[in-house]
Amino acid sequence: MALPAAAFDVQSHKSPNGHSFSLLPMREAAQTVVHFVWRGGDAYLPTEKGNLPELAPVLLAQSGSTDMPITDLGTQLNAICGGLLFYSGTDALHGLLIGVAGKMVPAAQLMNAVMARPKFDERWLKRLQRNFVENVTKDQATTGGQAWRALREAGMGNHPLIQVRSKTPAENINKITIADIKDWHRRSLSTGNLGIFAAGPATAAEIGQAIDAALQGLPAQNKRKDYAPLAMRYPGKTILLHDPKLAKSYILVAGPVPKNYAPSQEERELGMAVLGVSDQSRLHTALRTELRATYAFSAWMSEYSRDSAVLYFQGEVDTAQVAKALQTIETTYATLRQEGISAVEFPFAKRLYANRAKTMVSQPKDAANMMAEAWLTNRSPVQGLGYAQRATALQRAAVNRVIATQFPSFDSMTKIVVSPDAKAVQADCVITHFTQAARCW
Amino acid sequence: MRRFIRQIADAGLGLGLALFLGLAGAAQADFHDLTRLGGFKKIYLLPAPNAPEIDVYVILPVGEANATGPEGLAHYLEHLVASSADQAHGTGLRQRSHNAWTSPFWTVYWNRAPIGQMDDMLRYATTLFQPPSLSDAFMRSDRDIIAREFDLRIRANPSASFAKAAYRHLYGAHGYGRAVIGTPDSIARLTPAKALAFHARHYTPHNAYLVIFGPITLQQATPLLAQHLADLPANPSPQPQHDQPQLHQPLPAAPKSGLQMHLPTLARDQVLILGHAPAPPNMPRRTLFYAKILLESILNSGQPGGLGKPLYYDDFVVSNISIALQLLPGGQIAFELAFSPDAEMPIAQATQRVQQVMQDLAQNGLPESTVESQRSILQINSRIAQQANARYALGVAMDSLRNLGEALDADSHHMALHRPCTADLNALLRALFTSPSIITATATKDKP
Repeated sequence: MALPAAAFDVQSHKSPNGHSFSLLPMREAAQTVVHFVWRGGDAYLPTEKGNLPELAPVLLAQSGSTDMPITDLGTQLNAICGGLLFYSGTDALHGLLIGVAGKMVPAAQLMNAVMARPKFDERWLKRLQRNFVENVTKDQATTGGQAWRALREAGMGNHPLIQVRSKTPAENINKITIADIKDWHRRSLSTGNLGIFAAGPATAAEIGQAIDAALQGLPAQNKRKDYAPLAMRYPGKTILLHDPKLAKSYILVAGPVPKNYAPSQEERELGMAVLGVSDQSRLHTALRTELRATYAFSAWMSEYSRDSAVLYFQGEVDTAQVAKALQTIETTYATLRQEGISAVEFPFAKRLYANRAKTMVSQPKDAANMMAEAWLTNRSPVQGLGYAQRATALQRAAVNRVIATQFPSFDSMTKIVVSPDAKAVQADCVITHFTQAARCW
Repeated sequence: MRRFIRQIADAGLGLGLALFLGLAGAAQADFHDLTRLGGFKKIYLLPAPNAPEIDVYVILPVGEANATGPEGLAHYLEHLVASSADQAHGTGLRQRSHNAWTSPFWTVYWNRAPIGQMDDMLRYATTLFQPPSLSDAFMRSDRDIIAREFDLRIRANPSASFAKAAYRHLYGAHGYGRAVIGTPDSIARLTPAKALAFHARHYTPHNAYLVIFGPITLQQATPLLAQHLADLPANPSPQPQHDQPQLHQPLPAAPKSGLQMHLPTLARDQVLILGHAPAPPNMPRRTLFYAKILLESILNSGQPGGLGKPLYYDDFVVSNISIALQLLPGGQIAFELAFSPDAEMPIAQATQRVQQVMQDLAQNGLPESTVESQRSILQINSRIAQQANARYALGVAMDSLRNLGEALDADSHHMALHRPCTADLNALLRALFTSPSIITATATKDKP
């Protein structure tokens, strides 16, 4: 699969009303995506309302506009193959306009109906709050949900992002009011402090008109506020969360890596993939094929905030084999850090990774998102889109150097075991609820 | 492991992302029927020059509904066969991605790799039909892996347990009521001998389908296929009856009573309305299949005639609602309607309202304007997807293969969306919603 020929053909344009935007022409794509990014976090909120940014965008889309019933709006959008999506990150609000060439402006007008004249129906708020609380309650009861909450309790301190991420206590979600939502809306949706990134076959002229239509009537400034930097900490301990009522056991191992988009991101991702992505990865092979202790065990990287990225491995494990599994994880990981990726493994792993990167860059939604992410992290759109090129150019020696120097040592990582067995593992700290994890230092 | 029909899910009936398509880039996949090469029941090649790698699927019309004895047998066998066939490349790391999955009616084996690995992938495809060559110890230990899979998917997942119980309630001892993954008890009672016997009875290439998709031309694929298909049995033992005793037995009458379960770990109360019915008389299978597609799309929409409009949008009766329709191998049609009552709405009242809407729809039929509007939306989406996403053609081929016994190309699929008229949809709707074989299953957090 060839890389998109226009990978670096990012154009800069202005709409008729003067809104600047970047455009990656993708003439063979079916749809055009316009990605709006309102920079800034939601740190103006009291901690107990910290989950509003996750709820509000959904309410914005779901309860629709005062212009028309939501069912009519949905039907009109479907009829022109359009779509809308809003979601929050820790440092920005995102809005996506999706449409086909020739229909971008009508789709944008529907987006404007929602953004400029939102309905914010009390019944919809209650419905979404209920769903949200129930989902959080369900997640909190799972072994994985408990493991992650324990990790955050141990490492995030009093930072407001702990409510954002853990969503506990879940009852706080019910304290969000329509007035809060309206305040969020006033602070967030604006024509200023805004990045706009488009990808797809529509022309710059049509996209410019669509942008103007979408932003019509919005205030000039937003009043979003960034969170304080998060210095996530990881006790280098084994923490056992023991609950005899649990039906199964879970292992989570986590530690810091350089923040996303710091140099050598692709090297880190490939190292992570060899460790725990695919059924031939090191951890899957060691724990499932050899030890027969799990159905699936994986590795991934994520971030709590822009400053704070995490490498983690996780999965459910047979309760009777937890200790052995943890030892196996330690050995497998240590071997990767010491010896790196072998000459036999590297081509296959790189091929899978590069294919995934090329696929992403070839989709308008992902391409627009890469440009948006680049803007938020002070890189150029071209740097953002260069993901596939960098993935294709990876060299084994460089990847292994990064694994050796940037992946944390196992000892320094936090190991959390959630289990019904009080003797599942030799632990440095035993707790009975995730809220107690902060004392495991 | 896949569910019979899709899991209970939040309706997401709001402003959806109607179309997030897959690969961009020059699009249309070609389509070749290579069944003449022999060996398999059907062979299809879909060349797609812009796909990154080649996918090879072997699809067997065999699933848990064909099994007897401890539940989970078809899935257990899939694990063994996949592990055994996975050695086709020899030892060490393989240069392909690989997976397999089982449903009540199908077992599918999949590989993906560049063209340089076609020999390996086709060797894998033919090896599936040999008895698994694994040590007894490994085969027995794979039951532990399945037990871990059960833990992951089912244990401490009350919704999954509820769905299993509801299907068992409707279908009783019939194969359709069997749990694909089994239970901890049944998994422990599975044996390699039972699995091998199931393999011998059901795994024959002459009943199976081979689908190849990706950057490979007809000229490249034909000699490779001819070479590897020669490894398949030339004179198969008498083709097994497609499980007449099990799969095509008449479906049992639905029990008169519904099912009530108390599941304190549920996040919210849930209701499943399940049913099956004979297909409307004299409706050709293809018309039935496309009527099903259209009807399902309408019922899941917010348009007049959709379940969501009165129940989710207008009156806040349910907090989510979705319906899935299915054509069954025995010729019947089935549906699964899942919902949760909205806040302050007692479950009994919500259920009554939903049932009333179903009755009203069956009696009054769908508005012609909704049918035409939804048909238009599906056709526009189909053309857009066809233009820019070669994998769309693969999806069409696989779906039509499983439902019609032959794969259709994307153009035929697009044209076939014209086929059912409003009367066809209403006949299907009536057949389903007025069937005597419907049960209502409720699961509540609190004791009733």
